[in-house]
Amino acid sequence: MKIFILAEHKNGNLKKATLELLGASKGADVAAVIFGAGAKAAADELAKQGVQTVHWVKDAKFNEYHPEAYAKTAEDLIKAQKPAFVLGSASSLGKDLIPKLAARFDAPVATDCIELSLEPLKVRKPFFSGKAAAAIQFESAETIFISVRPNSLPAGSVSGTPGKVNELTPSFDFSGSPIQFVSRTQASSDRPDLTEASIIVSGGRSLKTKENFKILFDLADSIGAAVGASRAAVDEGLAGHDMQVGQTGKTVNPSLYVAFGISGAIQHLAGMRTSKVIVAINKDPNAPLFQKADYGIVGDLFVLAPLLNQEFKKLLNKA
Amino acid sequence: MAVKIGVLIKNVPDTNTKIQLKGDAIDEGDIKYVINPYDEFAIEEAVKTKEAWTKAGQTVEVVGVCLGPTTASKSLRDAFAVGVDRGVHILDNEKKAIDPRSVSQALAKVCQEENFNLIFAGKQAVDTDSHSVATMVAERLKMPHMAVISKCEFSGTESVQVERDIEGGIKEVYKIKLPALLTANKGLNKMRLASLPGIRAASKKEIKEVPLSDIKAGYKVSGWGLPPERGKVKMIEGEPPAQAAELVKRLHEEAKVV
Repeated sequence: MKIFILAEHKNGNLKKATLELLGASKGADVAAVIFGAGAKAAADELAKQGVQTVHWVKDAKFNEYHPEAYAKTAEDLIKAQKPAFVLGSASSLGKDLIPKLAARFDAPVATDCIELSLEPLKVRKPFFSGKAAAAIQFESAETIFISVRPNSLPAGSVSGTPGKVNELTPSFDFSGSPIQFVSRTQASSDRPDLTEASIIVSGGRSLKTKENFKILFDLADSIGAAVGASRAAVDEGLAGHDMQVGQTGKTVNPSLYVAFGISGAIQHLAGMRTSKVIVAINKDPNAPLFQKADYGIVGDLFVLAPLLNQEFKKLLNKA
Repeated sequence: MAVKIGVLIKNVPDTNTKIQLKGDAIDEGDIKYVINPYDEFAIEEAVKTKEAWTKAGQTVEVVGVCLGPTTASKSLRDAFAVGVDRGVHILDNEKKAIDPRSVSQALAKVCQEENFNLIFAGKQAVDTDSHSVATMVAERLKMPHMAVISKCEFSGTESVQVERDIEGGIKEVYKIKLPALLTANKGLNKMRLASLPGIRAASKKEIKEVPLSDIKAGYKVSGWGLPPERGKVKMIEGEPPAQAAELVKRLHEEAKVV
């Protein structure tokens, strides 16, 4: 079986979410594309993990996302390979490119899937922000497009036989395109992204001020976590929109979700309920989130967050 | 010549809805439907853009396009109350179009006929969460698109500069020539409240009902499930320093997540 993977890197390192796609493709004949001049190490890693042909688009013009340029490059590669499946992560890139390509091929597409096995084909996709999930039955087609939510599948490799890296120079008329990349507002930080983080600490309205979120950032940085926030906290200006976890914010899927002063509205639960372990810390013993958590502490977050920071540091220093 | 702005609008369960199953299907009994929250931002941006272009001397019409059962027209009426001029409702009482492939086909057909200069949509619908349909409509129309935008500034009716939100709080800035399709993220704006005259005018605005065209489905749902319930919460008692130590110990030794 042939599979085409839309691979991704962050600051040159192959993303764990891409390794999760490789794991799902075990034993298949896999090709992948990866974009950007800085992706050499990631391309080599893909080959090492058994991707037979790694198309590395080395041209620096492809460093920044351009929907038309990326789609045309992937389209040509897919047409040449004729894979049964095109896989991507439900990341900013995959969320844009996977459906766009599916429309270009007029093919079936299911996005943000939380279960995927290819032989026999079994796919589950969440609906209503995970308040329900459905088994997906595809119509038969030459190629099916699927994106997978990060942290849903175990990371893995395709095979023990290393593949090769093919440096690719696609021709695309950037200056003639109706879309022009202008700039980006900041460089990619070393903090993990909420949607891909394995640990998230998250704060609610009880943090009271934007400055107070610093105690959560300090804790997060000690343990390599991302920081999230409830809708109430975002609506009151305590945290940016990009930090909102919930049905009208980000859907997250970490191993550990620690909620500080978050009561647990339905729409918040929808965004984080697939977390493997949930910890609720709230001074209100009746906060609904305690009913959905694995561990709970009734107490003052301003006291507990710094204490937890100390305890985590102790543990990590021991390891 | 009049300038036409399209807005893709979906009627979805309110985000406070508890989803339950009835047999093999979603129990529709207690579900209250509202305009998809991200579509509210799309509607507001369309109306704001109309206002700005009208001020600059253009004749502008904002058209809402919606696919769904008869009851879904409510979201078009609600959009009329805040300034959308008329609507096209693709009627699908049998819920035949449920996946991105089929829905994007049906919407693209209407958009093609309307020949929009600009299309706004929400970045995703909060029921199907596919984050796909708008992008696929643009692709089918061979129209450039930019998704997940939190800011847009037009240079006349020729081009637009947008900020697109990506992971890690980063924003990418692009300039796009119209015609184009833009999908709205939270942060773009806040939908205005309907005024009384707006609500009155809404009931008189035209909704054109069109049948669902021939569509090809991409998938069907072969079974629903609800997320598993968690075990009973383990409350950690004691003084704060002891609680913090105990929690970290449990996360390390028992849950094995750190």
